[in-house]
Formats: sequence, C-alpha cells, structure tokens
Amino acid sequence: MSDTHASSDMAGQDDTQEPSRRKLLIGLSLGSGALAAAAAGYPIAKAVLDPAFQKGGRGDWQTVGQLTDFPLWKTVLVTFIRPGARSFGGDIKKDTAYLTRRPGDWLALHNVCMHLGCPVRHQEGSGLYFCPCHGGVYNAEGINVAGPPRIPLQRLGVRVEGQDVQLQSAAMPLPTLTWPGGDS
Amino acid sequence: MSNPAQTKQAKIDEANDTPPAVTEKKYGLFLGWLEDRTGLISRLNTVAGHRVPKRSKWAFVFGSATLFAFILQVVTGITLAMFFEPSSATAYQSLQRISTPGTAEAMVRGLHYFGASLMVVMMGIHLIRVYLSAAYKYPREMQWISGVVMLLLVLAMAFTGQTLRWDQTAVWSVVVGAEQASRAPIVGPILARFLMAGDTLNAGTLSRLYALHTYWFPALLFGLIGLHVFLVLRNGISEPPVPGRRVDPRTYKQEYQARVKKDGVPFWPDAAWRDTVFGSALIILMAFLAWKFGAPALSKPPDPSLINADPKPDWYLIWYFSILALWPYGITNLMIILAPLLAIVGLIALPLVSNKGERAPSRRPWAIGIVVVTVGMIFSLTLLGYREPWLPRFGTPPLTAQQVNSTDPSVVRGAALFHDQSCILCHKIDGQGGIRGPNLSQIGERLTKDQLTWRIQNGAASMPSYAGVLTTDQLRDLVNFLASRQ
Repeated sequence: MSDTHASSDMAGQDDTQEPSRRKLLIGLSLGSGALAAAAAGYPIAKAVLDPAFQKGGRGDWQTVGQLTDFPLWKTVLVTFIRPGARSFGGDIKKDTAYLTRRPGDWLALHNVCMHLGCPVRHQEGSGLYFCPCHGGVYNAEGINVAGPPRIPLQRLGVRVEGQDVQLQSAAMPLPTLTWPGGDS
Repeated sequence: MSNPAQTKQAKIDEANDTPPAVTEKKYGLFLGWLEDRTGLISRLNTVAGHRVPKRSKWAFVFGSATLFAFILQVVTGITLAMFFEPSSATAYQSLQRISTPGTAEAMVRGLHYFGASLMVVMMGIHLIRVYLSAAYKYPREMQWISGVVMLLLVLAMAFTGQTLRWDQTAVWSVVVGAEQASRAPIVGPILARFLMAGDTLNAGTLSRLYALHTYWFPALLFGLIGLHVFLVLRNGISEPPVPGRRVDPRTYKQEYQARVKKDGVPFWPDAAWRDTVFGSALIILMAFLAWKFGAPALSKPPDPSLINADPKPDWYLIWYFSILALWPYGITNLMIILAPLLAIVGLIALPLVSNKGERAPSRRPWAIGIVVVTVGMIFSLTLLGYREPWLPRFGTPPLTAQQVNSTDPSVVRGAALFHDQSCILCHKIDGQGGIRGPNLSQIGERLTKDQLTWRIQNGAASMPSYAGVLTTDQLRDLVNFLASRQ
C-alpha cells in the first residue's frame, strides 16, 4: 500500500479511491462507537429509567391495628409500609393514612395532600383535614373543599380479618394535569 | 494547482502543526521546559494579557464572583462527601455528626450552606447586570443561553442540595418536587418517579438525589462553565453600554476590536484585580458566617409518619413556594408547569429575538421596568412566604370567657364552636387565631346575621362550606357569637 502511495502515477487513482476509503473509515469509527455506546448505555439507561416507569397503584394488605383500636366515628392515624420499600431504607418506608370506622363501613384516606403531597392534619371537632403547606382543606369524606387542591384525598381499601384491621397499601398518589374547570 | 479542497486541507495542517521547540530563555529553566512540552504558559499569558474595554468596573465582577462561589461549593462539597453517608437509614445521623457545633466539619457544612446562597445571589445579580446592559446582544447570544442553562442547573443543585439534608423538611421537599413534576403533560408521572427513584419514597431516593447533586449536575456545570468562559474570552468582555451606540451585527466585531485596540487595557491585572478582590472578600465573608453560625439546623428525623411537618425550602426558593399557594386555584395545576416553562422559553429566546440595537438601560426603559417588577415580586413573595398567611394556625387554644365576654348561653356555645369547628385556625379574634381569612373581631358590625349564615353555609375559595357539617342549632349559636363581635 505504501509503495503505490509513493508513486505519482497512482496519485490520480488514489484520489478517486480516497473518498470511498475515508467514508468507510468514518463509518467504521462512528459505527463501532455507536455500538459500544449502546452496549454500555442500554443497561445504564434501563437501570436509571426503570424506576421512572413504575406504575404506582395498590400494594399488599397490612394489619394496622385491632378492631378495639378503632371506636365508631373516631378518626385514627395509622402507619403502614410503602409497597416495594426496601427494609434497609430506614424510616423512609413509613407512610400514613387516616382510618375512620363508621356504622357498616370504613373510610381510609391516604395522607398525601393532592396539591403538593404534604401530610394533612385531621381536626377533631370539625372533622376537616388541613394541609400545613399551602392551606388546602378537605372535609370528613376527604373531598377537597377549599384552598389549592383540585382532587379529593385518595381512598385506600380496608378489610377486617378476625380482630385485625387491614389496610391495602398504595404507592404515592400523583396528581396529574387538570384543565381549569375539570373535576379531577 | 490549487483546488478548494487542497486549500482547506492546507489550512487544517497549518493550524495543527506541531509548534516549534521553545528555545528562548525568557521562561527560565523550569517554565521553559513546561512551555516546550505543554504550551500552557504562553496561552495563559495570552489570556491574561488580552485587551478588554476600559471602564469595565465594579458592575462586571458578579460573573466571576459566581465562579468563585462555585469553586468554594466544589471544594466544600467534596469535603462533605467524605463524611456524609448517602444512605436513607443513616444519612440523618451522619449529618448530626457533621453538624456538631465547634467542629471543622460543621464549619465546612456552614461554608457549603452559605456558599449556596452566595452562588444563587451572585448569579442573580450577574443575570440582572447582563440583562440591564443588554450584553446578551450580538455576538454574545450563546453566552446568555449557556448562562440560562446554568441558572437552571444551579437551581437544580440548590433543590437537590436541600434534599440531601435528609431531615423531615428534606423528605417532604422531595415529595413536593415530585408532585409538581407530575403535572407535566404525559411525562409528568415519569418525571416524578424518576425523582423519587420509584413509585413512592424508598431506599433508593436519597442515593439518586445524591448522584444527581454530586456527579451529574456538577459535570454538566463544569462543561458549561468551560464553554461560557471560552466564549467570554473569544467574543471579548462586553463594553459598558453607551446611549446611542447601537449594536449592528454587520459592523460590531470590527468596531469592538478597533475600540479595544485603541483604549483597551490588559485583562490582568487592570480589570481582573477587581474580580479577584471582590470574589476573595466574599469567600472571607462566607468563612466568617460559617465560623459565627456553623451548620444550619436540621429539622426532625426523616420519618414520614411524623406528620406535624411544616416543610419549606431555603430562603432563596421561598418566593416560589409562596406562588404555589397563591395561583388562582382553578389554574393552579396548569400554572405549576406552564409558568416555569414560559419563563425558561422566554429567557432562552431573548437574545434570539432581540440581538441588535440599543444597549443602554436609559434607552430601554421596559428592561428596567421588568427588573423592578420581577425583583419586587420575588422580594414581596419572600416576605409573604415567611408570614405564611395560608398556614392554618394549628393548636390555637379556645377563646377565654373574658374574650367571649358574654353570658348569653347561645353566644358562649357559639364561641366554643368557633374553636371546635376549626374556624379559629384561619380567623383571628382578639389577637388569637390564623390569618388566612379576615379578622372577625368586629365582624358583627360589618355583616348581618343573614349574611353570616350565608357565608358559613357556602364557604369561599379558601374556606370550606359548613352546610351539612353544622346542625341548625349549632349554626344559630355560631352566628349569634359572631354577630356579638363588635
């Protein structure tokens, strides 16, 4: 190759060959680079982005107390474990809900304000739930009645197994975009 | 024979030629060796000696002050990373350890904390200075745009930095951030779960925020700072604006070079001494603050089952926290995403839609107006954020018999209802209660009993309706009590 290169007779031929040879070299470099980036990038992107595509929703049933812990009409704050939370995560795995036992049924409200997710506080007399962050107010049913929230507090499932009161855990509820005038 | 392709190749060859060996004695033995092998000395000398416009005085120090603050943040941040455990179970304890008053670690944490404020403030002033003097116009559009991207990255650093404080406030800040992001159309929930590293808070949340704060965002910032500084050197420092001297892209570069050649001064030390002295003075001030006040206090542990929380961002983001409470409620979900998006688009588009013409603020009164209104809004929203009028005053005690000041049993019962039905959380009577709603100390003078009944039954945007909550008797007692407040 170097011999023919040196010959001036071959220069013309070289000139016509060079562009296609260069194209091949460029293609080879970019192609192998892209392949390498994809080979290393796929597992990286998958690891980083997989959590972003979790679906949320309901988790397992957890015992949060005994029937005697829940007198009629009393709203009780209970703690449950977030679905999928790792045991080594420390306290971060805890989440809370307000349980109210009523004649014939239960009301369980996930304690996540549907404005920006702060924990709300139940008020004994009025039965209202107030959010400390931006003053959202929900009524005893968990319906948004004043302030910024546009969506009611999310309800959780409750069941009684013997004396155990069980709550169906759930991921963090996310308020999605609502247009002005829309209800949810 | 020369065809265009050969000429082009010749130019590339010329630019890439290996420089000749350094034979001059002017660098001395050691520096001469270094210059011969690296060429860095002559390049540094070129940068230091390049001419900059005269009269670029104290108004021009804020960009470099931001860089000084960044360097402080990098050094203190790396130091903190040697002590901080980015594990959601133990981070809080490691922070308590770092924050032990009187230790060097606590002072480093204080430096990082005050340095963050310094960086945000210097960046803000730099932005205002560049905007007011229209230094973003031709040929410095890319400087402005890279600056806007850095502004967003610095705010992202500020936010993630506050969450690494992994106390109660930090945890709820993550939630508030995720719930905001979830409002974006289509990608909202994906963004929210990306931030939380899952569909709810979990052990990976802190690790992810830590990686973003200490690796990703700084890496991007390093690259962008490099670009930004390179462009400042390439395009030259903008001149102080002169009324009537208009920027014309066809002639600007020649005119700029001619003026700088005529009466410019070497960057170092004629112009740069101000940058150095100002930046150093600020860092000394930060060291004093860190020594005097130490590390910022941690709030309660990161346990989401402790629900008595009042999460708030650091002072420079409070204004935004206030806005979130104050949008008209009907459009709040839309504005959470739309408003920041419009601001970003507007900032990036600015030099693209307006890159020529007058630069002097005196000829651009609307620019002054925009700055005054924006700074005024941020200032007043910050004050409001500390007053927190929207915060229900939890735990306000019932009114005393002396305050109620009546023997009418209906009024006394109404006063008890005023407390028990949570009215007092948002309404003040005789200096007791919240400030969300109007002060009701003299409400009996302003509203009739019918009007009071109507309002209590119907509520308002920020007040829940009590129809169906109060019995007829309770409503009558409450109205009697309020009507007696005169």
